[in-house]
Amino acid sequence: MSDVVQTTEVQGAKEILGRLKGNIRQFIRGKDDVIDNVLVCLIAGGHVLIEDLPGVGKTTLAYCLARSIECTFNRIQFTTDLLPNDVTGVSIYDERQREFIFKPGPIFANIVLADEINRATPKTQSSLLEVMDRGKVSVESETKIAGEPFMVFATQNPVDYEGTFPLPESQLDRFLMRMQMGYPEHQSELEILRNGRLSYDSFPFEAVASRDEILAIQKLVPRVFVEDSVLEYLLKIVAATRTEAEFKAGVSVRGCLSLKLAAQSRAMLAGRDYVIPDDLNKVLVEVLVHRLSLRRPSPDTLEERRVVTTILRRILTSIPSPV
Amino acid sequence: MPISVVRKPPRLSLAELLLFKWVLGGFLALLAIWMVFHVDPDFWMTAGVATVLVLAGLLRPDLPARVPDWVWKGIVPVILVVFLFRLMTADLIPALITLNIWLVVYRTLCPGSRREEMQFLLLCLLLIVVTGVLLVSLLFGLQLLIFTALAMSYLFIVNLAESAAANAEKSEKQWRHLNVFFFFRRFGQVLDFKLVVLGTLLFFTIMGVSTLLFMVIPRVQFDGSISFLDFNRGGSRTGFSANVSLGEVVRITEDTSIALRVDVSPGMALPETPYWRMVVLDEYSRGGMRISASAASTMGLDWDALPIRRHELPVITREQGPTGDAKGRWSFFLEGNVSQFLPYLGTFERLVHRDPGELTANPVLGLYSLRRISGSLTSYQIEGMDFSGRIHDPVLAGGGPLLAQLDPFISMLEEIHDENPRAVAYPQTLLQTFRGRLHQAYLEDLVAEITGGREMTAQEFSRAATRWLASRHSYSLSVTLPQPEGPFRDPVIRWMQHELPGHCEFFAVAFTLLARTAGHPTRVVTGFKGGTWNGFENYFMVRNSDAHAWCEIYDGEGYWIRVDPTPGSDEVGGAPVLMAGGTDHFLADNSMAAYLDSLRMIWYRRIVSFDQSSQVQVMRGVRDFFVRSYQKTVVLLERAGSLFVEWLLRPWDVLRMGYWVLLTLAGTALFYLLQWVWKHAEARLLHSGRFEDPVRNRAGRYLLRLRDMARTAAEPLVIDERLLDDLHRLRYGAADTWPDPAEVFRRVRKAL
Repeated sequence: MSDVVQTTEVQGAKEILGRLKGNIRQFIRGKDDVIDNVLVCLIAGGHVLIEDLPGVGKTTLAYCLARSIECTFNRIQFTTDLLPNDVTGVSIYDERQREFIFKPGPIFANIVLADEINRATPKTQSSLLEVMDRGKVSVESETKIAGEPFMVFATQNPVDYEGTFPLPESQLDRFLMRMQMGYPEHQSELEILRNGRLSYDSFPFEAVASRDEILAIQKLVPRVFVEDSVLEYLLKIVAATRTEAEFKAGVSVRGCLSLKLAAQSRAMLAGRDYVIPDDLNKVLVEVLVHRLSLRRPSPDTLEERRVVTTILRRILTSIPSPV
Repeated sequence: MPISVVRKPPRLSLAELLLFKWVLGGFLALLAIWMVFHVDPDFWMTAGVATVLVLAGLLRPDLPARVPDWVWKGIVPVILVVFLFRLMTADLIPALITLNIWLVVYRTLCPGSRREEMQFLLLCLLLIVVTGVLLVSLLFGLQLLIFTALAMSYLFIVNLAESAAANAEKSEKQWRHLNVFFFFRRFGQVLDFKLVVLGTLLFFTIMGVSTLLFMVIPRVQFDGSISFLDFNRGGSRTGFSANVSLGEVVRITEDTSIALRVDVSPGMALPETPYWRMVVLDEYSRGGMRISASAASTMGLDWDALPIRRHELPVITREQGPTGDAKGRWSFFLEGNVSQFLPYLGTFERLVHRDPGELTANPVLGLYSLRRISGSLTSYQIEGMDFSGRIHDPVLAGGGPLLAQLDPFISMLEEIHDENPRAVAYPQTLLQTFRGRLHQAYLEDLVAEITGGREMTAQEFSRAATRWLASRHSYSLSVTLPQPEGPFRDPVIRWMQHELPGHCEFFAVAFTLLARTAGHPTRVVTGFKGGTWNGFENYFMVRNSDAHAWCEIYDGEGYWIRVDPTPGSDEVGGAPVLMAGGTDHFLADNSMAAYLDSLRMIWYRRIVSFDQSSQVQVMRGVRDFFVRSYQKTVVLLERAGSLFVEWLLRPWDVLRMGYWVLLTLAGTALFYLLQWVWKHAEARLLHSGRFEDPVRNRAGRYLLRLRDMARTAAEPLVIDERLLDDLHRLRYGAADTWPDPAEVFRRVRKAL
């Protein structure tokens, strides 16, 4: 079967991803799970929503990833007065050339950090939609590629949300994963203190993977083999979220596809050309948690997320994994 | 180690498993003790206390835990002392049963380590087997079936609990405080349909295998060599013993339980009203009949030494005669504690019993009895039986004047009894009435009234006397005799004097006295009259309520003729009514009770009397079936072949060819359609969680085992990473990337 990825290709990918991971680990201490998930998003071509307090390393993580790959990195600080054109770019009339010239916005990069995304107005937020979906920007009937690969790191502050515009569900659905960084462990924080760098610009980075390599791996991921029983297992989980009384609505078909893709990426990360149920279990919560909302919404985002996670874990325990 | 986590449906916790084990153990103990109630009233007390104790422990598991440890330790010596005490006061078997009961109770309430669980099961089994062998009842089979299912579940739960306990951090104690009734609800929740189906399948497989073993293992006659099989209970009913007082037979009729079941060969001629004769009583003594000492002593005679033609005596043997005997074969199943005398209908050729040494024959009276009364079922078969009501007497036979014929025997029998020369010896007992003249004279007057002074043959006299008795006495089960007044003390004479209503015994004794006075040797017979025909399994059910007494009168020509003087039985003398068409004429009992009884009969026929000959018969039947099937198949194939050739050779035209081509095409299409339907249905049916692919299935099983090992292992399990990878690939990977499955599985087996 030609559409199934070859073992050698996977081994190559694993090696590249291993290098990437090692590089990021130098600066992001004690957060292997988060790094794994970010890499999963990267090779699945998905976007990440990191929801955590300021100052736990969200930006650093995005920066490290961008620098480890030979690619461009931009940061957009979202505020209430940010306009869509500030994101996508604007056409300016050039006196000398006597024509409108497109000045690309900060979205034109391979890795974009959209800081505090919920501070922007819905109009600006939605300008991100098309870009996130296709990696392309439409400006005046012209479609421009934002970047290849293209990955959005959006962050949200879950505690201080006065004067914010919560992301609509349609937009949340476009993020492959929503995750938390969490505080580092004692030992890791001690090391961070010892090294004592505040600004990530001072990191002595060198790229360990090329953009082409990442693009090649991205093309391999959908070809990772998923056995029928594992697919059934996935469907059973998704079906369970749809019948769960606590949830307003179940996981969409897009969510279903994302789950499969994330599991495939996870398998690729582990150097396997096939998915095992464990891959699915590992990405399940991160992929589904923002796609589900409670019937009785909680005023506290963190609390709601915690409840959804608990229900998801319960569903996971109730469905026997295929062996 | 990238082993995925299996999520299982809800399971019983360790505490619940332990409670389950406890409950099952209680049920097992109750099951074992249950049958002890049927063995003997002596055990009621012990078994009752044991049942109460087990029930209390079953419902409140926390109670036994409150008993201090030293009490448990002290109980075993107490049980042993009780056993020794019973051993001295009673037989071995009752003592053993008591010991067994107490040990079962002890093990139920104070369960310990695993070896003791096995001990508990064995104790229960021992109790069941001992009571089962003593009772030989249908319930024993049921009990064993339930025991098998319970014991299998018990062992299963013990294993589960052990492995669960190995994983638990601390030992569980709190299970004793769980509520048993809540547990049953919880049990219903976790009950897995698949497990139930599998368990049932396993159970029936074991049943099947056991049945097969039962059919094929060689039969060993070890009854005689196991002493406890001789454990007898109770005694014969006095109405069916060698000494019967008036009214004792009637007392038996108050009991409606079944005393005798008689199986007959199909299509055999049967008497309309069978008289199952058991005890023949020749000596009359003041309101009672008994077997005279002299007649009884002939039981032990060496008949070969006597001038009796050997062939006139029936054969008692353990070999069955040739099958297909014209007169058929009667199988008797006599319940325990009915009588030591075996019922039968009349002169026969052969009596088959599994142990002829157990039987004694008394051809003088025509009696066949066990040496000791049996507490359990006795089965025997009689072949070539004549039920015409005429019974041949090899001793008195020979024709001519009776007494002259008897002379040599009288002297011989008197010799045997010379220690008591005043006693009247057989056959004079057959003519004995009263020593006193008064009674004798009264009887003679009556006889003169009956005969009118004429000389009568035995038959003629029987008819006349029966008619005479019926004209003076009506039938009644209760007889109130007036206080004796005047010189007549004998109850039967008083009964006749007052022309009272009476029951069969009075009629029989009165007739006997009259006939003897008239000079006809006469004796009283007790046994059963009639019976019910069971329509389900086609056999006679004779109940204790069918108990009856009647007479036999000697015709002077070597035959005893049955006379039933009781009103309502108009049959006098020979001439029985035969049901030539077999059993159709009987009014069959099709009630529920009869159905339940027929189950018992199946048990007797198929299990209890399944001996070597039955085994051979079954095997022969199986062989014949296959031989016949083979022959039939050969014939069918030959016919089909010739028909095909004939069909092929018929002229082929376009129409015919087209027809057949179309038919073939349609057939092929149908075949593929069915195949397609089957494939999809199969996928639907089998695809619930499992896969058709055997390699994936097997790899999955190995992965499960590896994970279980990893979970239960004391120290981290080191498994070859490559092996695990290969297994995962076989289970979840694309089929064309698989390594050689056989090789991987070999490595896994090695690793396991």
